[in-house]
Amino acid sequence: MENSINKMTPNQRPLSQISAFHRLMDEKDIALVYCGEFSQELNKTLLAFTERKFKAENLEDNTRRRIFNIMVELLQNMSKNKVEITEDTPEVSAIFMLGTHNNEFLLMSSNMISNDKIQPLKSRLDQVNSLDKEGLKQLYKDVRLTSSFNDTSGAGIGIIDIARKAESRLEYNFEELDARYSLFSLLIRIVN
Amino acid sequence: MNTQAQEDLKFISQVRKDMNENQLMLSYRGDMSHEIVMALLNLSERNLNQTNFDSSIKSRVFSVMVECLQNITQHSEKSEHGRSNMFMIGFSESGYMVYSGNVVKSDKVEELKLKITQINTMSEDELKEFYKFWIKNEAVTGKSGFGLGLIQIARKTGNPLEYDFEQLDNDHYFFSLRTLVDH
Amino acid sequence: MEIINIAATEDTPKIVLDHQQGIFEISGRSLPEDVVVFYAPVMQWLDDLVKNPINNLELSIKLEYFNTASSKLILDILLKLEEIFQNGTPLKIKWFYNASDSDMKEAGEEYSEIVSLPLEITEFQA
Repeated sequence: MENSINKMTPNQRPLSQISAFHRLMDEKDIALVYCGEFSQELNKTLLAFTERKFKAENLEDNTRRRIFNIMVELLQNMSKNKVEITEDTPEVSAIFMLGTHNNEFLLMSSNMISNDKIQPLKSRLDQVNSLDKEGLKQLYKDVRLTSSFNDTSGAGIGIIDIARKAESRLEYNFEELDARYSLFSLLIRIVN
Repeated sequence: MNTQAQEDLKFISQVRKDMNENQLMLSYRGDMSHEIVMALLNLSERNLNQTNFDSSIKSRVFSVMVECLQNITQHSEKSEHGRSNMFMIGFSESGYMVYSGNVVKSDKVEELKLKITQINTMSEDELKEFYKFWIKNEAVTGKSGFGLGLIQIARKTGNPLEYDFEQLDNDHYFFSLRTLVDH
Repeated sequence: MEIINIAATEDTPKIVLDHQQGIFEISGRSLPEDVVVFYAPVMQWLDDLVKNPINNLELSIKLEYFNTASSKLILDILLKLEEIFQNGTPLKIKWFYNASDSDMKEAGEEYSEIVSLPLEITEFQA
């Protein structure tokens, strides 16, 4: 086997390494990973994929809708907050993951974000995490009335919407990369 | 934040690291029905169109993706091991990589190994004649005589097919295939 | 003769076999789950054609993509037409390929090496 791979370049990993990654996906019940650049176009295709997959698996309409709606907001936030990777920025690709475990669905994302967006985002996340269903409903109404169209911080109504639909705590962290950028990771748990 | 959440968040970074190291952009694991194959193709096609590869390269990659995916829908075995079907794509300076994997019955392993080894020793012309022979001689039953799909994958990539069989139990192996289309 | 008019979908080609309008065409993409089921009406139509041959039939094959399962069916279609041709009915296949798709051109050439009937390979600009 090895001797027929004379075309393998130095940066091409052995198949066994990919197999190891596959096993990891199996262990953690990860169904889909997309790593790269997120745009409107790509988001549309990711959504279409997920919709089709869940339909094929006869997932309950209600759960499907919840996951789908959360994904829309999540992906939109990712493309809105997108940091163009240049020579001056850290080279960290954005990633989106979809997992299922027992009766739970996990939506995960991680992407670069400019440091000036951290505070409003963190505040919003902590705020939604502290509210119950009623509180979230009220907050949603309040923000919808007062938010401006120019709110590009991603800390607007999207996060509130995600929290309402997830009906669970939004887990997140920020990891500083340099003076201007950090890595923002988000994990959303949806119980069927 | 509880420790489970912390672990989960760290896990996202690990996956990113693995994806980057293996130069992968898309990774799917799970059921593989025709519906899901079509959905994956649409997603992959989008990714493919983002590259600036020649259109003939793109259509070759597309062919390879279809054959890999449809091989899985046709030949995949259900296994209680929780090892599910895999499909991953990525690209780098070397070219475009398509990786697919599925569970197969033990009694299919030797045959499959022989076929791939055989294909891997053939030249472009030999593969062409081989293809012409089998297209005439296979019955159209859905499960092909030799595996036109494998022959076409080899022809389209122009590279040896890299494969692996991992034993799961007495009756099952996990078969993985990696193909590279140069650009 | 029946008239077949099947619209293209994301995984199956457009098929028009219309003897009244004189249009015979297979175009688009072919990667259905079950090729036998999909192409059954075409094979049936070809069996009818053997019994009721049409003079100077011109079949246009203009495929963007076809999977290996479809490639067998396409061969079956060409073999049926070869039978009709060798029985004395003039007909022609026009195999189209997109200018940038050398593989599709080659696929046409391969089919012409396997079957014996007039198969014209023509480029088109998308």
